[in-house]
Amino acid sequence: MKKDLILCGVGGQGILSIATIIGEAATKAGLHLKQAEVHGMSQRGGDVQSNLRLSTDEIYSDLISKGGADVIISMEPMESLRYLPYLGKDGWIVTSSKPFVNIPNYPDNEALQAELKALPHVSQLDIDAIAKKVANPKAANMVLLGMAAPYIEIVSVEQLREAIRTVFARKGDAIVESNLKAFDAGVAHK
Amino acid sequence: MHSSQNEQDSRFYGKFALIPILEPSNQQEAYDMMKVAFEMSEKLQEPVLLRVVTRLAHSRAAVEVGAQGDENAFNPSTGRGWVLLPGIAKKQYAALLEKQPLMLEAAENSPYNRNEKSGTKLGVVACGIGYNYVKEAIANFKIDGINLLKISQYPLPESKILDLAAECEEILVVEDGQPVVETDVKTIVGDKATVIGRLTGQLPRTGELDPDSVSKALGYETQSPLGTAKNLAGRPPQLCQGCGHRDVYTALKEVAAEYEGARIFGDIGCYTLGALPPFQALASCVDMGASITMAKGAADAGLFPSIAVIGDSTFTHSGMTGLLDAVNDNSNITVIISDNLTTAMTGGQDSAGTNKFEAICLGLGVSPDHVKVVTPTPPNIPEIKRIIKEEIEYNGVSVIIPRRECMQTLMRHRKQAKKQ
Ligand SMILES: Cc1ncc(C[n+]2csc(CCOP(=O)(O)OP(=O)(O)O)c2C)c(N)n1
Ligand code: SF4
Repeated sequence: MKKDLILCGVGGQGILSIATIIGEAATKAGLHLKQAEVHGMSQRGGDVQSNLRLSTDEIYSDLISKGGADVIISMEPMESLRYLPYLGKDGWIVTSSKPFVNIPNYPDNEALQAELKALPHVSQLDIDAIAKKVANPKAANMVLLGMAAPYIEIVSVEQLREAIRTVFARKGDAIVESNLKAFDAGVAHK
Repeated sequence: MHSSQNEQDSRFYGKFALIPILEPSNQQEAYDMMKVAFEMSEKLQEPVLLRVVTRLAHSRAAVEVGAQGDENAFNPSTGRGWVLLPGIAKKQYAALLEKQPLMLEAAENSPYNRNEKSGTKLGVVACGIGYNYVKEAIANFKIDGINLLKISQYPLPESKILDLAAECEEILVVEDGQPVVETDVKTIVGDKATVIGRLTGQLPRTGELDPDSVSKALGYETQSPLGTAKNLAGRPPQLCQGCGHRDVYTALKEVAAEYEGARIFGDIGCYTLGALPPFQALASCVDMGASITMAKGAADAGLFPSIAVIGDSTFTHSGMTGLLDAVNDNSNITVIISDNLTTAMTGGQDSAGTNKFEAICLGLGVSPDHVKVVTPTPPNIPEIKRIIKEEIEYNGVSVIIPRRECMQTLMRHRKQAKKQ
């Protein structure tokens, strides 16, 4: 089995921790893994993206081909559309529904939503609101990971849960628990 | 590529210096080759160049690590080999030429240069990471009939390339960067085969290779079944909210607007983002330190006002020599050292000159009356504007140092302090 994931969002939204957790779960499961990311400047409000490839067999290219991605996991709705050319025909977009507007020419939200809704497989949620309700605002990326978990398949939901425990362990039990709560809230959204 | 002025290929340097080059195709090879390179260097007593392209530098994978070797004995040279007077250098060059056959032989027999053959319809020379894209395309499209020569060690193994030319009428060269190997393969095979690649348009002449462009060159196009989105806008990077560079540019833009023909010469760091909206303040950004030397050249040629903006770390890297030159010539420039107490752009490392900038400028001979320190915050903008204007009006070298810590390192330091 092979799964190609594109993680994206705006610099500072926490996509790299999502990559770290999936990476931890995949490594533990003995999978091959490659992760490519845009460099530098990522703290500064620009678009950021990371290609994450997981497979039971050897992986060659660090980059995902056009039409090759299984899931686009996005912290921001417009950013999820940026990588549409890379999504396979049965692929899923899993995204936060809340626009992050830091540019003057951000598209009209209704048009953006109409375009997203016209696509075959889209899962959207206001992850910030959910994170605030069940954990804390900083855990929004874990809500998103939870939403995406059923589509990642190559690592199970339980394996991802375990990876969250491992990755956040050194920050203490309270942080682990709140991230797990956020993750589970995402999983519960179908 | 990413942040160089253009696509610069380090393999030219290897050829120029007549030394071996290793070019890993993946993370494991990058790890293994480092060891090989050191061993080769010890054996040949020459440097070895390891070429890492953008994609390899910005991606990761698990690698199997080997046992760590012992540290070499400390063995300072006692001969005259490092005294490169012409008489000695001439002999060294002859000795280097004598080593060339050894380097070629090593490349011919290298396990990193190998054939994988499923036919002879098309010959493919795949260098470094190019190999991965070829393999990806072969697996994706189940391509058959390719005689693939993987190249990861130079000088080019000429006999292996001639073997390929004997079997295939056409050879596609897949290499990241400039068409270095494509040109060489053409020379090696002459009219024995047609060589195609970046120079002949089968692969794009610019930009990083990717699985799509390489598949296409092999005759198979990847598709985007869901098309391209319509509701999309570019999202360029920006200076962080609260960043001191922002206040510097706000003040500087307003003052510069009062002078027709004012130019602000930029440099490399977070503050280069002053070239993008909303500021669009910079006339140049070329290489580390060039803000000062370009401002000096422009001022000497008659430009007024001529302003340089340089970061604290870049200033100590290669701004100081330019400033000395400007002082010696009494050039009419205003230099702004935007001091955020760190090397922010590369991740917030310490900056070599922290706490020493006034002393450095005075030591280089800038007049004490024209070294000014300000704190870049929004309420201070009127005062900063007044000082910038005064220093522009001063005919000579002035230095203004806006000093306030980078927001990212500030937050990091606060977190660390809370923990203790
Ligand atoms: C010759 C060279 N070496 C290294 C780099 C990598 N680099 C990019 S920006 C930078 C320094 C930035 O620090 P500073 O000037 O203090 O600006 P800041 O990012 O803190 O605003 C370095 C070393 C480079 N661009 N050129
Ligand atoms: S990292 Fe620091 S210096 Fe760079 S833009 Fe952000 S606050 Fe400014």
